[in-house]
Amino acid sequence: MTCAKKTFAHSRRFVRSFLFSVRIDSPLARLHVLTKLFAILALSMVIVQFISTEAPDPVGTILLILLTFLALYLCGVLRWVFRSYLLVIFPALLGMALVWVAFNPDPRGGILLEIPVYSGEIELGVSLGLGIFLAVLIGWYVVRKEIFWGLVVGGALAVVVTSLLGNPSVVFARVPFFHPLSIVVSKNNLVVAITKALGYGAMIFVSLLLVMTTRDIEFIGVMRQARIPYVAAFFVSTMLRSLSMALVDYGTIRQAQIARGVALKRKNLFQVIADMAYMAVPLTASILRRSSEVGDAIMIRGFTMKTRNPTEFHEVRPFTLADGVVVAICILLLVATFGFHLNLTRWIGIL
Amino acid sequence: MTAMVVIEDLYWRYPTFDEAEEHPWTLKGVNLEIEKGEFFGITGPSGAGKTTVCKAIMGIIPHGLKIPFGLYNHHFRGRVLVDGELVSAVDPEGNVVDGEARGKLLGRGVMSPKVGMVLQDPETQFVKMSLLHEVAFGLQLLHLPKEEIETRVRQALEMVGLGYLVEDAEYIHPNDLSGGQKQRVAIASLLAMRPELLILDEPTSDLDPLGKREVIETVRMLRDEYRMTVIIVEHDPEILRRFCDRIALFEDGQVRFIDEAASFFRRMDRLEESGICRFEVSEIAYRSGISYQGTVPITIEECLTCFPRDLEPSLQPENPKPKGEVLLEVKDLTYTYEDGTQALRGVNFQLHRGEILALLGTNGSGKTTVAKILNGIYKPTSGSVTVLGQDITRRSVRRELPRYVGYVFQNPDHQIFTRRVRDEIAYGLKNLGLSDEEIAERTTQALEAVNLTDKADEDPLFLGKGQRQRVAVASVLAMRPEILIVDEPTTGQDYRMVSGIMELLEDLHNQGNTVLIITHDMTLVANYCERVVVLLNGQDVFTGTPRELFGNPENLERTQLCAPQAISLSVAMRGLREDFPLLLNRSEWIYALAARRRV
Repeated sequence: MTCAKKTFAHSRRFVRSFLFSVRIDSPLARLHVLTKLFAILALSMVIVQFISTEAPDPVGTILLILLTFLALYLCGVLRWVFRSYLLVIFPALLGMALVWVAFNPDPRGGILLEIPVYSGEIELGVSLGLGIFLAVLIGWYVVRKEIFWGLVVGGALAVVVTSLLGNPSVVFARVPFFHPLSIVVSKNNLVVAITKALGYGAMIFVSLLLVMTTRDIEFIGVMRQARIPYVAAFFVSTMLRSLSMALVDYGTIRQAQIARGVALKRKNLFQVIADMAYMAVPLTASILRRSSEVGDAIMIRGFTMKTRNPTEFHEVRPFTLADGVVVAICILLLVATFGFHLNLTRWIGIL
Repeated sequence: MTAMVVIEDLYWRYPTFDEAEEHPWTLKGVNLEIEKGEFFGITGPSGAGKTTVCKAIMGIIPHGLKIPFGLYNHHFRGRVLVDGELVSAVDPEGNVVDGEARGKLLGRGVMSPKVGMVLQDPETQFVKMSLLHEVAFGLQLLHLPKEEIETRVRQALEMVGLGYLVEDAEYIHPNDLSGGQKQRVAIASLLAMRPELLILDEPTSDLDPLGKREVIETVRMLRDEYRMTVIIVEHDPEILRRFCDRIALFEDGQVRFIDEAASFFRRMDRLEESGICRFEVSEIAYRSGISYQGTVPITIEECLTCFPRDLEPSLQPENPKPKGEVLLEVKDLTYTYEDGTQALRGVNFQLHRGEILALLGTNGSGKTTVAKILNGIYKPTSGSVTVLGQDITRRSVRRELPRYVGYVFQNPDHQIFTRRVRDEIAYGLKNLGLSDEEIAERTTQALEAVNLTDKADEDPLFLGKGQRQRVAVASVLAMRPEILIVDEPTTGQDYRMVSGIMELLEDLHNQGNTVLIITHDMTLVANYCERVVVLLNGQDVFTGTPRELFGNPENLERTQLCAPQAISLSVAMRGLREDFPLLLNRSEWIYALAARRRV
């Protein structure tokens, strides 16, 4: 029986981080965790200043969010990960901007649009529009088992019909509640709403940068540098690993679910949630079994609750010149923002 | 010689949450003595207590377990000693509470690094998120200098054939490795600690045949070099015979017998009774009345002296030809993961209706990636894949693939979504949108097909692994796919379970189902598969019949696979007589020898 020697080609460009993976040679992957933490805190403080209601700085905010995207790109963030976050974050930010516009009427800078939306009284009654909306929504659910498109079609039909035929209604009672509301779109509140939405978006992506570019081993290194007892550091490390394993399991289990035809037809929100709930069975079973085996594995390697200061081995990362440069830039930015009220929008004279 | 391990009359039962209802004894009076420097094998059917006894030697049992109310007398009896030191014993008169002696636990417990143990499932024993730190972890705990750790990590990885990963070790997550690589890492992590006693609990179940031998060869070399004692739990008779000095048969929590490796596998009746995997050549000789020095042969060399050489060339069966229409065609298929790893670099093959095709290859060759593409989970990077004439690069076609291509995952636990076997089988059928009557009918049929009708209302999570695997097969089978893909269905299972699952797949095949099976078990391929496709480094390097693959040493060399014993014997016979029939498996041999007797 003859068996040839194996040959393998191997090249690695990515390494797993706390969440997902990061390009090994990306600038942020080389920074010390504390530097990254400091930078995130500093940038968040700057953003808070940029999105202030009194002196919003949309240009500065846009610049920061673009820099964040550039950093994510350099880190090699996977496209589907970025798209997934964008999918969640974009509607949230849009909703936030609309709510800001609706609830913060600010006539400064000139009113562009004013739409009364609430009279200050709750009307108890029925109207043609409401009837159409509810009828379409219920009918749609009965026939198609979907809610979202029922809402969309019902709403659209109600708007079309009432704009053509008017909206005859019967009011049974009026209950005063809160105060009248109007959507007042002024130049000022539009700028503030957009700046705030972008600013919070920048904060989210900056925080994501930390978890996407930091590995568990770096956390352990920092804890060891901070002289936190090894048992505690090891506990955190094991917890992070378990989370990472749960993510891997989730991926495999989701694939197994797809193989069983879970994605064969379009499903409404409740069905999607039910499908997710089914995943709890294999996920919990895997986590329970793994936790018991990991306990054995740890004991076999000689770890006990009395373990003290094992040899440091490629865990503690020294501070480098790059860390110094990043910290210095952050301090300058803080000084410029809070000491000299840096406002790029005003500086270049847009507003 | 002095004893490294002494076990005296060991009884053990696992604790329950509710001590009012105790488990039966898992170990029932085990007595065992293993010499220093010995390579000792343990085999036996699933549930025999093999892993439990290893954990008792390691000291995890009972020191690593919480015994409710300290009732040691209810759970542990006997003594375990390693190198003369007491690992575990219970003083039955100790720990008196309310006048009742509950038993006091004695002994050192886990003796790391003197004793090391590689657990069955490598994935569950990793504690770090990089390969470098995984191997270094135990060494860090030993407070070795950094340079020494560096050297030992490198050496350990080289020993297990992973030297090529050393440079990237800091950036490789252990879970990103293939199944075989994970097992090697688990072994390397222990080898680096240089234990005096190394326990390997089915350490090679996920490895390809060549990798299996390489890893055990490494362990034996270390045993010779460092006078290490090795205990290995294994089902593979070739590994046990080749590497072990003595072998113990465990059954029902007891040691049935211990014998020298050279004679252990000649006790055919006893092994058959316990359902232990025997050598193919022993089985052929036993069934055909051929004896070697008054017993059965176990090696090819022995067979060459006692098997007849005058078998007619016409006894070699014809190679089966693909008969049905082409159901699936893969052309120049490539796949690159988003992190840049190129898993497939050009794969080509066809699958015909009604055939059973094996997809083979070394660890990490891309077999599972192909399966996931065929099931619509991954989208091909380039190349073409047609299933039932439909191009699966189109998203709409890919989405519908689970209707036509059923995929049974390697680990049944990843695909059990409900708490009742019947519901589990119905789960996929509901996703197909079938009526309740149709679901009930198909569920009943699938349960009958896998012989699990009596378990229909049980919780699948509490079934044995073999039964869980059957539930997984039934769940996919009930969806009545045109093609059934089964990924490593026999990994880590004992001989009876392997036979059971393969008989099930053969029955399905005989009923006209098309089956694609991914496996490392070459005997299984020779016994059940009509054609094979072999992948290596993401490319197909062989397509043909098992006879063409295993009967030609050049093909074996090219594919880095090893032939099973039955056809290896045919090839060896051909060395003595050129026109000797190339008999592929046990059945063909037994049939040919019977035909010769008739003549």
